[in-house]
Parts: sequence; structure tokens; C-alpha cells
Amino acid sequence: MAEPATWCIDFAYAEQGCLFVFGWFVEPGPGFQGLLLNLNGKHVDLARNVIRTSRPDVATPGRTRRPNNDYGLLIAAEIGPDLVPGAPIELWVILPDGSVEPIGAEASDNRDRFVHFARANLLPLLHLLGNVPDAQRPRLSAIAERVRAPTDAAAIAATDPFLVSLICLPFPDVLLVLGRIQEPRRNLAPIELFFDDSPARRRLRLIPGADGSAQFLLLAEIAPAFSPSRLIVAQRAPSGRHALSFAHSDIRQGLPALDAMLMSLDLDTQFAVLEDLTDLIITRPAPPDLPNLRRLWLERTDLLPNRLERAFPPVRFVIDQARQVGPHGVFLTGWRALASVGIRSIVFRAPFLPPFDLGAAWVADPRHDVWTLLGKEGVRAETDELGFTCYVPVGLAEPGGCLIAITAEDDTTWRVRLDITPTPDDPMTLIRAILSGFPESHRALRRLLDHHIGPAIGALWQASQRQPPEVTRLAFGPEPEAPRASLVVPIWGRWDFIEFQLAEFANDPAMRGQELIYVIDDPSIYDAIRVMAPDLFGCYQVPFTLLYAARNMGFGPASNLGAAAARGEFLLLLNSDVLPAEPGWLPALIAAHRAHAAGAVGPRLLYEDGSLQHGGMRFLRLALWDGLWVNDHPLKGQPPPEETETRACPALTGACLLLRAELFQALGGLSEDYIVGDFEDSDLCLRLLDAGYVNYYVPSVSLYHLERQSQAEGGASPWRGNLTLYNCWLHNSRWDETIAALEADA
Amino acid sequence: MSRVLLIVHGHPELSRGGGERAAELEAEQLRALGHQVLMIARVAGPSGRGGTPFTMRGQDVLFHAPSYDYFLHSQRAKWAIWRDLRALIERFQPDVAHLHHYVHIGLETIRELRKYSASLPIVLTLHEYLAICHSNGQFLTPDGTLCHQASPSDCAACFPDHSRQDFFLRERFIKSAFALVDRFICPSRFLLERYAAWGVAREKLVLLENGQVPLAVAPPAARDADLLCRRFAFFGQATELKGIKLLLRAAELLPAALRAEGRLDIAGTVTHQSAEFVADFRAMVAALGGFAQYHGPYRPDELPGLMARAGWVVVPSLWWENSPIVIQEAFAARRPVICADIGGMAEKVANGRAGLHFRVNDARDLASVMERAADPALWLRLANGTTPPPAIGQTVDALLGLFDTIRAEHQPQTKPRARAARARRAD
Repeated sequence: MAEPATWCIDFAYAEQGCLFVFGWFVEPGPGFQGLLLNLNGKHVDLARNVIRTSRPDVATPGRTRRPNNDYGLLIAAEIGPDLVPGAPIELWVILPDGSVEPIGAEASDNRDRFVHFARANLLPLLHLLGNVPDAQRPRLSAIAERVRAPTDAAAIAATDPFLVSLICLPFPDVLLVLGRIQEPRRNLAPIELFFDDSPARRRLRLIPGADGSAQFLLLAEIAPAFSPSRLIVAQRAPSGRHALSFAHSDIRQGLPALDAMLMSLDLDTQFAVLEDLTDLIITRPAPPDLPNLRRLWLERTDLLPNRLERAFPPVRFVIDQARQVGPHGVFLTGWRALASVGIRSIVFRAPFLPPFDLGAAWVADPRHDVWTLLGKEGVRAETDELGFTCYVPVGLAEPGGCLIAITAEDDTTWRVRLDITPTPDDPMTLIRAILSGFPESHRALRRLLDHHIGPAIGALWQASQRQPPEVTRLAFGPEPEAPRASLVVPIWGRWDFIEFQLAEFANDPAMRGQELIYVIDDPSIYDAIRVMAPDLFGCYQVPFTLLYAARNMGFGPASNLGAAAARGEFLLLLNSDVLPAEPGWLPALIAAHRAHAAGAVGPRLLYEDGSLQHGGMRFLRLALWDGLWVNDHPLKGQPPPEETETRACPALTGACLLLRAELFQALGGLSEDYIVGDFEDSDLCLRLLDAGYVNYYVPSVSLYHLERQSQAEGGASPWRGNLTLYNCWLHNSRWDETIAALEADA
Repeated sequence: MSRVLLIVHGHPELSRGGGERAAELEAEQLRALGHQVLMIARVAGPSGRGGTPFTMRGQDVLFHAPSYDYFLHSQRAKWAIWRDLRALIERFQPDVAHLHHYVHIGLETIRELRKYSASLPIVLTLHEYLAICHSNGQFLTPDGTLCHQASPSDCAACFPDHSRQDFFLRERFIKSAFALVDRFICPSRFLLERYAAWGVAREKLVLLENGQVPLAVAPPAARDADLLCRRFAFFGQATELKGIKLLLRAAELLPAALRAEGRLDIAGTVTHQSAEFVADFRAMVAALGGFAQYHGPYRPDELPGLMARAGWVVVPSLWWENSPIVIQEAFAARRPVICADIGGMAEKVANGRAGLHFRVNDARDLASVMERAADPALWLRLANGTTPPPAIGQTVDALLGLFDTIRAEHQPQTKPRARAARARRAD
């Protein structure tokens, strides 16, 4: 049984009794025998007025393709005065078996659309005009001449509000239609897409042009086995339905076709296409042909400007920092001056990732430098909050292809390329850079920390801690058998403290048989210590072990490393700049721990002038830091209170903290999320409380603590202060409620 | 008989300080009494022999201390102590150790002696305030102001290169070595009190003068008084701190008559001083005409002659001093002393009994005291008021007694409970 014929008239035009028809026809057999025009019962033979054109896009499901794909149908004929615009016309195609296939159409008098179609088929049209009967040629040629004349876009719009310019199937199941529309506000909504005659699901977007017209972009998901005989893009207008129809194979297929199609568009439109396409396909489990699409995206991103500085309208958008944050996100800072245009959205886009609403997420930063800059240019900004900081929690496999799309109320979109610096080998450099970049007096400090600085630093710190260290272990002197306590002392910066401690421990009989572990947390001093260590043991005869992880880990990880090697029943976390005031302090601390079945115990710590350094910690809200809880050492620097009774105290300093090694390990040790060293002591104490233990302060045992002497080399750089702020924020994010309850009770 | 290890910061034949001299006399006396003595004296510079820090001088061992930390008084090359010095100690097998100093050698030496034996009596003589004061142990601020008490923050103010924490650590470090010492010999009450105030346990501080050998000088006589009361003498190193320039300035202020009749004899070295200081010193001496004369350095055997020609011995030091050997020598020669009214000097010289005090660092007051001193009756009375210092024999006897006391303390005390347990077993 023969397949039915399929056909489509895309456009029929009537003028001065002449008829032009553009369309296609797929006949069931090898060809058709003749073509007649049935006009009000009068039959006109069009045998010399038709030419087949190449239409590779026309689908012929289940059939052998004809050579040259000559399915196109182009008709030019002078019919006479009976032919008037708007009249229904009927074409009879006479098939080889003698049967007739009628094709219905309506003649239009839209000149510009005619021009549009004629230009698209210019060569075949000229060829056809060479074949038509001589009598018809002058008039037909005169009308066709118009194709060469310039057309007025406004005239097109006035009569025909939309045109399809491109149509493509970038993936077998995604259909993309791009066209131009006039008066988009009025005309966009009714644009519809039909497969055969059924409405299709589609996404519609508008790309405004400079002249008031706009491009429209339609995207439709279609069934992979999609084969409607006709695709109709239609617009309902008051004057009736305008429609353009296509065979689905009218549509070029595959990414090369998309690429070629994009080439003819301006960059913003290209991105509109790519973005919408992306948004459509990323929802699918395995987006097809991603690498190639990615390549298209990357090539075009390279063409975008990396800053936006437009004079009219004055729209400026400058990225100061765009940093990849490991595999987790991107950290952005910059500024913008967009006050003169209404902004609908500012969106971060990475290839094939969901868009991120940057404008809604970022924290605005006061930028007086920008304010001044704009002022010099005569622009008076409405606010000084011209800067922004944003952590975009979007994981990038690689930093290429990212952009920021700024869309105005009128749908105008500007795009700025992001030149993202890849995550440095040493994430600490980036941590320092980020921490140096904001003042602690920021107006929205909590939001900045909660959503931007905090997550970014957290991700970087995690990235830097990934590989487990290779640990070198050097033992000096016989290792004590079954030590009661293991002292774990991280060393960073100044290392002469080792000798001061050894000199004190050597004089204390109670230190014999205890385990002493120094964790060298500073590669720059390792060799000096390694060389000196045999001499130190030779002199003081206090056995000790050096652990070295070939990098700077910070107090928490270094202590954990030491604790993992410790064999004592008790673990004493000890700072290098803590010196005992007198012998016997360690057994006294252990006795206090036993007497109270404590979680952790900590002694009284004194400064070198005898004033109090640590007498148990409290928490207080720091107004400067937006009310974050900070660790407070009450009475610090004052004469120590005359107390000797051990008392419960929720938090104790990690400078000298004793607890059972087993319990320490069961709790997972010190948190390694705090950077360099801060708050992990109170964090441990609060975890002990959480686990049901009580911590005790033991004022009858005193040691000296030359607080921060070991860190003196670090200096007072701004990032250091903000690092403490970060650690504090992290501590609060975990313990805010616990601390509030503790302080309410106290 | 004991086997006594003497450790000295310089060899007496190479370095003529008071500490070295005291060690030398002590060694001679101990040997005379039949004790075995090993003197280990530190010398500057390398031994020149690979692998050992030792050379010898006579029967004494010279220790070429390799690398010294003058802030902490710690030997940086600790192996020279815990390996080499230790080997020497173990060969000698001392049953008592007396250190005349730790400076240049290292406090580690004390630790090594204690490691050698928990019961070894370890005695350290304190010659100045070095452990307490980083300013050469002299309790003088850099601008020369007298200092009364050390504290980490005050000391850091004197030495801005070191933090107060550094000074705290210094103190702790030194005390960690001092804790291993049984007794500290303090030649003056003043020094003893300074160390007590610094925190050394009072029961470990022993007041004991360095012993002296008698000087063969004729006792003061009335017939010499008229002449000697106008003869002033300065002995020792002519340095700024010893007050030599103060003395010369005071001399300029003396009345012409006294300058014409009297004289000022200066005997000692001006070595280790800047060329500028030496030039100044010589110019000031010259400006005084015939009144002042610089005799240059002298050997110990010249001392009696020099003392015999002197009437008053002037000790014009700008710092506290401890127990200046020159005062001991003056008193051994029964010569009254004019000295500054501070510290060890004021303590050793009873004002108006064995000498006269002047206001420290006050040339005008020194001049007026010298003027007053040119009085034969006063001179004779004060000369007769001097008491000769203890003889070295007395000092060494006291030391030997102290060693015995310490030994007794180190005997393991039989605890009452242990005794009771033994008694029960015996039943």
C-alpha cells in the first residue's frame, strides 16, 4: 500500500494576478505527472511554472530518499485577474497512478514575507523564471525584482509580526526555533508551536533588540522518535492566525548544525540559545553529546567581555576576584553600577549547571573607592554599597565557560565572562586572600560569614587537608613502658621552648616514665630540631619523640597526630609555651581528674608576671562581631583569685588540657575544621559536655603560659584577625545554642 | 681525703679576675691539706684538636667551650658537656664539686654533675649578679643608673631585643640549673640578699668570704700617718665601671695644697678598654701634674710594696660590687678604704671605722671625703679599725665543713615507716 503524500505550503503570494508558492511535497511514488491550479473551477496547467528545489530537511520516514532531496516546491505563474489576495487556492498534484492530491493554501499579499522567502530561494527562482512561458516572464520578473530592493523592517512588522529565521534539532529530542518578532510585549505571548496540529510543550524566551523588535526563542522537548509530518509555528493575532509550517526535517540536525546556526547570530542571542538549551538538558539523567555542546559554549564564552563598562545606558559590572574554591564553588567579589536601569536578575552561569541567582545571594559591600571613582566621572551613586561578595556553591570540574548574565526589566541581557583563577595548589594562599578581603566591621557580617566567607573557607580548608600526611617519627631515649600520661606538644615557629620544657621536666621526678611527644608542625624548623634533638636528650635525659608530617597542619591536626601515637592512659594537650611552675603538677592534675571522674581538667595558667592567663573559660557575645560568642578568659591579666577548690567549668583552654586518651579518641579528637589553631579546645570541651561529662578547672595546679609567644612570628596581619573571626563563626555555627544555654544558667 | 672538682670560668694564670684568684688559692690550700683536686678551667678559642674540647696546662685541664649563649648562659654545643666533660668527670670520680662560675662554660655543667651523682655536693660561688641581671650581672641600666630589682618586664625595657617573655624564660632556665645546686657561696651579705630576693632558697645561700693570703706590710704606725694620710691609691682594672674617671675628676677638685703635698697612685691594667678611653684616661692623669701617677699593671708579688706606699685605698666603683678583692687586700695590709656608699663595698667597709663612704658616682663628694681623709689622726684611727680578711685556710675549712653537711643531707634518710617495717620483720 502506497504511503500517503505529505506536503506543506509555507507561503503563497498573490500580486497583479501572479502567484508565487513556496512549500514542499513528498509524493508516494517516483514523482508527479502534472500540476494544476484549481481557481474557482478553472484549471490552469502549471507544468512549466514549477521547479523542485532541494529540501534536505524534509523528512521522509520509512522511504528511500530521492537524489538531490528535491522535495521542495517552487511555483511562479501568471494566472490573471481572477487571482486575488486572500482567495483560497487549490493545487492539484497529479500522481503517476492518475490520482490527484489536492493541496490547499491561501494567497497572501504580504510583500515583505514574499521578499523573505524569495531571497531564501533566489537561485531556484531565477532558474524557474528562465523556464516559464515567455508571455508570463516580464510580469513575474518585475515582481521578483523586488527581492533585490532593500526592505523596511518596520514594514515587515506592521504587516507580519513574526518571522522564523532558524530552526534546528541540536539533539534528537530537542527542537529549537528562533525568530524575530515586532512589538514583543503585545505579540510574544500568542506564539505557539504545533506538531502536526497538536500544541507542543515549549519554553519561550525573548531577546530584545536595539530597534524595539525582539528575537524570540522557542525550545521544545520532543519524543526521540519524533516524526510529525508538519511543524507549525503559529501566532494568534487579532487579524487571524499567522502560521509558518515546516516539515520536521526542514530542520537541520545535530550540534554542527547548531554551531552553524549560532554563527549567524549575535553573541547575546547565541548565549540565549545555549543557556536555554542547557537549562533544558541538564534536568536529564545523561545529557547527550555534552562535550561538544560544552565546546560550543566555551568557544563563545571566550568572546564575551570580562567586564562591562557601557556608557549608554551607564551599566558597569566589574569582577575583582573570581576564584575557584576546590570542587565546591566559586568565590566572587566585584562591584557594579546599574542604578540607571531596572535589573530583573543577575545570574551566574557555568556550562551545563543550573543557573545561580547571584543578585539574590550576594552580600553588598560598601565600596568607597568605587563611589569616588564614579563621582569623578560625574555619576552620583544612590548607595555606597556598590560592591558585592558571593560564594557561588556551584562545583566546577574546570573553571572555564563561566559568565554572569545581567538581565534588565526590558529583557536586555548583558553578559560578562568570568576569568576564574583555578584553586591554588596550596589552598591556604586563597584562604589568606579571602580573609584579607573584608573588614570585620562589615555591615552584614553574619550574612557574609554564613553564606559566603564561611562556606568558601570551609571548602578550601577541607580541600587542603585531604591527603593523609606521611609522618616521620624519631625517638630519642628509651620509650617509656606503659606511660601514665602522654604529653602532646605541637611546635610551630619558635622551637627553643622545647629546651625550656625539657629543663623543667628533667628536674621533676614525677615526669619520669611519662611519654613526651613533640609534633613539629613547621617544616622551616624541622631540620634545626632534628639536628639538635640528640644533644637535647644527651643533656636532659628526658626521652621524647618527634613527629613530623612535612607540613603545617595547625594546632588541631598536629595534636591529633600526636595523640594517635600516644600510648598513655591520659592525654595532656600542651602548648610549647607552657612551663610548669613547680614539680609534681602532672600527678596533681591526674589526681584531680580521678577525684571528679572528669571529662577534661585544666590547671591555672599564669603569665610571666604572675597575673592570671587562664582560670577556666566563659563565653561572651562580641558586639563588634555581630554578637558572635567568643571565648573569654575572665580576669585575664589580673591578680589570680585566691581559690584552691577544683570546680566545674564548661570550657577550658587547650594550652594545657588533660583527659583520658580513650575518651579523646572516642570523640574523634580535636576538630580539624578550625584553621591554624583557635576554638578547637572549647569545641572539644563542649563535645565532652554533650557526651555527658563535666569538665573541671583545677586552680591548685599552676603553670606558666607565655600566650601567643609561639605565634609571634605570625605578626598581626589583617587575615590573621579575620581567621580568628572565621574560626569563631564556625564555633558559633556549631555551638550557639549550647553556649546560650550555658551562659543563661551561669 | 676528698676528691674535689673545681670548675673555673678562666684559668688563674691566664685570667686575673677575683674569681680565678679565689679558685687558685682554694686549689693550693686543698692540695696542701692532702685533698685531690682537679681544676677544669675554661679558656677562649678552640682546642685546635679535632674531636676534643680539652687541652692541659700543668696539672689543670683547659676546657675550650665551643659555643656560648650569653643570654641564657647555656652551652649551645651541649655535646661538649654531656659527652666530653662528662667523661672527664667520670674518670676523676669527684666526691665534691665546686664551681667558681658557670659563665662561658654553660649551666649544663651543673646538670651534668647532678646527673653524674644525685648525692654529689655541688657548690657554686656567686661572684656577681649575672644570673639575675643580663647587664653583665651588675644591676646597672644601659645608661648607668643603678638598678635595684630585676623583673622580666623591667629587663626587657633595658634590652629591647628581648621580650619580657624571653627574660622570664631566661630566669626559668637559669633557675632550673640552680635548682640542682646544693649551696651557693655568697662572699657578701648584699649579694646573698639579692639572690634571696630573686627566689633562691635562703637555706641554700651561705655567706662566706673568699680567703686571702696575708700581706707582708708593716702595720699602721703614728709616725707614718702624716705622710700616708695624703697618699691615695687605686688598684685593679682602670675601667669606667671601676670609677677611675670619677676618681680623676674628684682629684681635679682637690685643694691645690693637698694636691701639692699628696699623691694618687694608680696601679692596674687599662687593657680591654677602647683607645678613646685610654687616651682620655692618660690625658686626665697628665692634667693632674705630679699628683697622679699611673704605674701600669703589677704582679701579685709587687702588691705588698705598692700597699706599703699607699695610705688610703680608693674603691670608687659605679656599681654595687660584691666583695671586691681590692678591699680584702687593703684590709690585709691594714689600709683604710674610701669607697662608694653602696652594695658590697659599703658592707665590707664600715664607714668611720675602717674607712670612709662617699656618695656613689659623686666626684664632688669623693673630693670632699678625700680632703677630710688627709688627717693623720683619722687615718691612723681607721687604719687600726680594719680587720684582716679571713685566711684562705679558714675559708677552705669552712668549705670542707659545708661539703660534709651536704653529704649528710644527701644520705638517704631512713623513714620512720620503713624503720617500723624493718622492726616488724625483725620480730
